[in-house]
Amino acid sequence: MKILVHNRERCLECAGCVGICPFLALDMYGLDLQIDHDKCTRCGLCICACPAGALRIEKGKAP
Amino acid sequence: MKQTQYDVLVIGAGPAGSVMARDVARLGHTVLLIEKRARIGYPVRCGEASTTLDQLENTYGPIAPECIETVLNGLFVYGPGGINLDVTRPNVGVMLNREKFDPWLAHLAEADGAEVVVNARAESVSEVENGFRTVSIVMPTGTEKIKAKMIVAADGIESRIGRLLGIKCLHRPGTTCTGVDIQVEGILTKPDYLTFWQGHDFINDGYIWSFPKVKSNVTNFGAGFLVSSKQDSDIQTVALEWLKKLYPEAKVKSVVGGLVPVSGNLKDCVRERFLMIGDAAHHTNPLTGGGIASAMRGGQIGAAIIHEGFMAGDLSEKFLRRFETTCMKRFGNEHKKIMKFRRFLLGQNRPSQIALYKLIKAYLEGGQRIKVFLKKPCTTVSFILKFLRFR
Ligand SMILES: Cc1cc2nc3c(=O)[nH]c(=O)nc-3n(C[C@H](O)[C@H](O)[C@H](O)COP(=O)(O)OP(=O)(O)OC[C@H]3O[C@@H](n4cnc5c(N)ncnc54)[C@H](O)[C@@H]3O)c2cc1C
Ligand code: SF4
Ligand code: SF4
Repeated sequence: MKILVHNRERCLECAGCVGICPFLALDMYGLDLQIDHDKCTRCGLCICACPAGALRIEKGKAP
Repeated sequence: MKQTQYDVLVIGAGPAGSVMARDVARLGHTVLLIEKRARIGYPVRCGEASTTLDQLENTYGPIAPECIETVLNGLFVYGPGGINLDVTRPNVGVMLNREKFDPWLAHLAEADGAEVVVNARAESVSEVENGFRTVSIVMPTGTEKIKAKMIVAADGIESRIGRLLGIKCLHRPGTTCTGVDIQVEGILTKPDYLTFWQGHDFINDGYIWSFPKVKSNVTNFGAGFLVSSKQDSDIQTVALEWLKKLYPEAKVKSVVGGLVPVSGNLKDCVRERFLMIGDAAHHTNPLTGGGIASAMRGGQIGAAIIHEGFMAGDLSEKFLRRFETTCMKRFGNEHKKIMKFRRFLLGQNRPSQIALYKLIKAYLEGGQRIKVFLKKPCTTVSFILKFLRFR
């Protein structure tokens, strides 16, 4: 299965991805990005919008 | 929170939210301003250039001198094909220090009677019940439910609150910019000028900037482009590459980033006892991406209308619609025109973009004469002049 993965080291904590996700799958709690893997459709929009290249779709399992 | 019930609850302590909170507090209403970050205005996600001091002070009143970094006297644009525009305009704008400016605005709201709480994140907003909406606020100490007669979403680019209420405030590719701002030690470009690199030879669907913060001896060097699914690399990589190319010696202090809505004012941004301001309502200038001044203006207009609503005992969706029309009149219609110009400029191929830059240059150097000969492109030229004022 493929999931959206967030690279905290690269992240600029701008919350831009939260604002562009059409499915409200993202939220920022404090400085952590929360990904709701059930809501995420892996459309890739947040990846295009992220100024830092901190998001990617990779093989993996939702926690 | 000191109370469980307020007249107005403002979500987000950016420039939009703080101005709103101050103005409604001044008009005698109880206000709670909540900010999810621990420190207001930090980290700064901005290039920090804004409009003229006069205009800022007309909307806001005197600005504390420590918030002003530089008074700007012109703009320099490196265009395609080596065509550069040099525009001298005394007092064309100012560089702000938002690490100081944003807390200062919030502090003034507090001084006028608003209650300001940080580390408080609005999670959801209820429907209207008996003249109140209830907001769930998450804090380190737990979740609190606060009632307010009027809710204002000034939550910036996230605009999650509006979306939870079904408002179509989603940021979309093509009408949203992704950008980074790199703080570089020392002043790289002319110290009282904003410097831009734009067009096919640099970044076509956006621009590179270098803004001098003279008091701090720092340059905000950055770049932004429209979000699209076709881009090869992220804007941070692109901006750092350009910095290396243009100023190989530059010493990077820090990098911040973010998204900027460039779609023009949201047409639908109110509900019963609810309205949206600032970036959340897409109040940003769609060409420059400048949003500080319009966020403040939106806050001010919103506060006046909320006060009217309280006086009339009417905070219905129908009544609050006048907020949208007022914002449209005050800056939205201009933003619409500017957006048309952006589409025009970015839609040109390299040769015609060079021709357009030459035309603008001739206009800037030759004054009005050129208008007589070229009817159509002239509307364009007057647009350019407007956008150069960086509203
Ligand atoms: C890279 C970059 C460069 C820019 N350069 C410039 C420039 O040079 N000049 C200019 O004029 N503009 C610039 N802008 C745009 C400018 O930063 C914004 O338009 C401006 O900050 C908008 O103000 P605002 O009050 O609407 O939102 P913001 O300043 O974003 O404030 C929103 C606040 O709400 C808080 N918040 C969000 N959700 C919640 C919640 N659920 N609960 C509680 N709080 C919440 C956020 O933490 C934030 O503090 C730039 C933007 C970027 C990204
Ligand atoms: S991939 Fe698409 S659905 Fe998933 S978080 Fe990103 S924008 Fe949202
Ligand atoms: S858009 Fe990128 S940099 Fe910004 S918060 Fe999301 S993951 Fe982090």
